[in-house]
Amino acid sequence: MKPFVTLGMALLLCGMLCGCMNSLRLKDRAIVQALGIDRSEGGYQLTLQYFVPTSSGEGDSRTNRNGLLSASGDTLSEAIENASRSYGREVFFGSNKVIVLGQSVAEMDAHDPIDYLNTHHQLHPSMILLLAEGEAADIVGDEKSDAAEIEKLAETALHSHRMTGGTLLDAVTQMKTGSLELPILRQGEEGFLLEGAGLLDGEKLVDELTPSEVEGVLWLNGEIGRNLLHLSLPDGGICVLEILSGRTEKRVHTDTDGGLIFDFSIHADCAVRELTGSKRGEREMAEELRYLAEQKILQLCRRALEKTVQKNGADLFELGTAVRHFLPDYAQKYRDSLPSRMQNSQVDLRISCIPSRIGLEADENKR
Amino acid sequence: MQKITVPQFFILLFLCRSFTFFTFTPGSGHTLTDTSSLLGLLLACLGSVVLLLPVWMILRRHPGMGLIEYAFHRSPGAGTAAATFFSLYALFEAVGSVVHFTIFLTTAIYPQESAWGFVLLFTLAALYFVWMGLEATARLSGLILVALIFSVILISGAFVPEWEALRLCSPFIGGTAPILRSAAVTLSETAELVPMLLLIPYLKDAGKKMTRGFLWWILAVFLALGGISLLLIASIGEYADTQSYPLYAAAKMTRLFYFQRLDALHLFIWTLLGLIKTALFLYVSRQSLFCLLGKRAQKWVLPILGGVTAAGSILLCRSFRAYEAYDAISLSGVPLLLCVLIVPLLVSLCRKKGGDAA
Repeated sequence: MKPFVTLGMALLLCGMLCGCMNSLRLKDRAIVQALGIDRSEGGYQLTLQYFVPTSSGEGDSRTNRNGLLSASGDTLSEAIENASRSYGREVFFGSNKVIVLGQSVAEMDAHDPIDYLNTHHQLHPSMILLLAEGEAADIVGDEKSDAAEIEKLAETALHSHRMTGGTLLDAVTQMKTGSLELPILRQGEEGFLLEGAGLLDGEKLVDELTPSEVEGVLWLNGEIGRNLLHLSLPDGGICVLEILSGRTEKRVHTDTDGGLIFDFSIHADCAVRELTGSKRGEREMAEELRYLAEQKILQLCRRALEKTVQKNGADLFELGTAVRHFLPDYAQKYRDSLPSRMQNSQVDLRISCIPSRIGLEADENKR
Repeated sequence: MQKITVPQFFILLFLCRSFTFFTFTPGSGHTLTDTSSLLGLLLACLGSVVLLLPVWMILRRHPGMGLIEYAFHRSPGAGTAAATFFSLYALFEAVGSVVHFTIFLTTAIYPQESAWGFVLLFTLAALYFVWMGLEATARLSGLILVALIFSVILISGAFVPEWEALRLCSPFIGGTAPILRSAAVTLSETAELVPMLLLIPYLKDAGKKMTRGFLWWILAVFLALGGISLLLIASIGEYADTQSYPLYAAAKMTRLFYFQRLDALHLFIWTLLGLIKTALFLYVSRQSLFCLLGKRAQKWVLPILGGVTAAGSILLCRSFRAYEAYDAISLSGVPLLLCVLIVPLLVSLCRKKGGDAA
């Protein structure tokens, strides 16, 4: 008797094991691939690109096979709820690849939407987060726009160190310093491109970084590798250096008046990849190339610092963290005035860029 | 009586401690953004040693005896009171483990689900562990430890490339208050000290190896938890502080080759950790009741304990105020202090049966 009772109870419990409580079938979900958020006085406007399964061979492989959905609401939760209601399926963000914030969001208040995205249990922190040039709806809602392509574009830019930040994790981490940088996604003639970055003071867009300023930010943060550095030679030629590896060290100390002095030591290892329009050989020009490279990097870094720290007081380089690390008593004493002290600080840059590899062409061939 | 080895026992306790660590919330007084929590962990480990010194000195004169056996040795009244108290405390901790894990699941992973399903299944599974016995649970814990080490290696591997020493600053930057607060909270969460004092009769060669085992356990807790904390502070400390469950947020970000998300794997391991902890405290509660009620209680004690655990857990999950009150009591450190210091000292002051008071 006892074994039968035990077996019966075990079978009864098995009915609870498959997670059938409140489950939804896949076809009852809208699996969102890309999310665009715009803002108006009335609230939020969402544009969602969701996955539409098609049978093999169906449709043109070049056009976007994702469906599009728009919804609005006073709050993001309400807008998402309205999206589910209007489409008749529950919106699911677990496979979301890209989030695009519209210019309107950055100009009004980016902090709240990013905070919401950070606390949403379905959204992954490594999700790509970009700023649209214009409305997010124009990008996400474009019929040629494909979430997977935008994600690939962003990941390639990240891996080849042409973009800084770019994920939800980076945005949330930066927001804690009071400044935020979001890569800008623009619509080009032949597709989308990532160029420049929007600079926010934690809430609103205050300025825009050009691609060379973004490059300067990358150098100052030590996020350099496999980039190309184009140098204009005095004899009219052009030399292209490939950065093999880069390292940045930050230190801080105070001057006699109690002002902050930040020291950046940037070291890069590079290789000569192309030398055109010059009659001199690479070996012959090694020292000159080194000098020119260091000057170029110095220029990029100075421009980035001027636009970010000095003009807008944006701490994109963990300067506050450096002060707390090296000068904990100073950080504690001037806790409230630290941002303004950093903005008025002095920066010393020491650059070392060593071409450790030359090309395969023999120098004699150039003469 | 089933007996386990001292290493098996301390592996069980290490897993219990790990469960608390992996599912902690910053709001409870911990933080992962600065090094004050590391110093707090060190102080808590040292505090554990100091806290156990008095009871260690009492019990080393009675090898093979746990606190309850020692209390009965002093007097039947002291034994009855001690058995009742420890049984209730162990039940309190078992309920806390179930509630803690259920709230974690229904906050971070299944926010639209109600708690009762998780509570019932979790409690049933823990009861099954208890029914199988201490030895079976201890054997399983060895496998779970291997899985946990694998999980920690995956999490660490994801964040080592993000290491930035600049993010480590002096633990005294905010003064000594955050360090002491962190130490107090960490120490109050070390409920594993109680089974250590109660389950001595169930260990083989406890007298010789217990002290050494305890010190190894404290060292392992400090190195493992401190190491993970240090790594996360130096890599994603600022981000982790914005999350309700920072270790879960870190686990979500781990990847392995083409496996984009491994949080289900980590969650499976943490579920086992939670089950081990709940089962251990239910076992302690049951054995304490056996000391009190004798063999006649064998058949009905476990179902009643299970019922009380489930009912208490559902109540706490449904009432946020009740949960906050429970948390406040637990984190105050008063229950732990009573168990490992006050009650043993009071028992030692009792008049010994058939003789003078010590």
